Amino acid sequence: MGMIGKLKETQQKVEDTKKRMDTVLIDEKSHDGLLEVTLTANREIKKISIADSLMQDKEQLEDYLILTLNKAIKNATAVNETELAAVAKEGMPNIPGMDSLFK
Amino acid sequence: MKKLLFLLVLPCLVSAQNTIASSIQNEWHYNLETAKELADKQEKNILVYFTGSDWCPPCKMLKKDFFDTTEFNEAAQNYILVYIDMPRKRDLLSPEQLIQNKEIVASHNRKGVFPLLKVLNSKGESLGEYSGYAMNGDVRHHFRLLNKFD
Repeated sequence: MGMIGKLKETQQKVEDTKKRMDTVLIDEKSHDGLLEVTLTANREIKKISIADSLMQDKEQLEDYLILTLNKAIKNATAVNETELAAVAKEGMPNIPGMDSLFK
Repeated sequence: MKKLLFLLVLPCLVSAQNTIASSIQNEWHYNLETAKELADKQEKNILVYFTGSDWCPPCKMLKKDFFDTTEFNEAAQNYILVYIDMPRKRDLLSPEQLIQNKEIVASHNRKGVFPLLKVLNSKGESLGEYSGYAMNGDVRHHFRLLNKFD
């Protein structure tokens, strides 16, 4: 296969991986477990579970949501980037110095 | 002298105990129909694990943090275990196994999410499930599911 063919194949693999990341679920919760969220590796929120006790305090709930969602987004982003980089790296020709682009 | 002898033998005893504990290995099945028959005979429920073994990072972490532990091996004694893999490299499975796995995903993992643990009774009816993993070693929810139906 020529270089163009290989690049197209890699592009297709990257697209497939992006779709596959929709099916990977990543959980995150607050330090005390009162708030739990589930995101896909494409950072789409799938589930939020809030303990009754948190519902009494709007400000606290808002803080919990910000902290927990940010943690979850960070985790999901790391998974997403790692997987996409791995697929892209697999399909790239071996050019000296190219490795550093995917680290 | 006896004390000295005891101190010398103690590490061997501890090591032997660990070996026995870690040697409890549960058998994974790859065919749901076979698992249903076994579950019926042994009056157990079925634990189906849906994974993407070569591409799903939480699944890879869950293997290390949950499935490869002595605690899991002990908790899973009361289950017939079924492993449903949907790998990126499709040649990791035989064509027949791949077709079967796709069918099981279509019928028992309709949202198509990974990782997913699902408990079925011997008739294949769903009793409960837990999906996702935080990748931080906290597998309390996964054990809670196992302990709920054992």
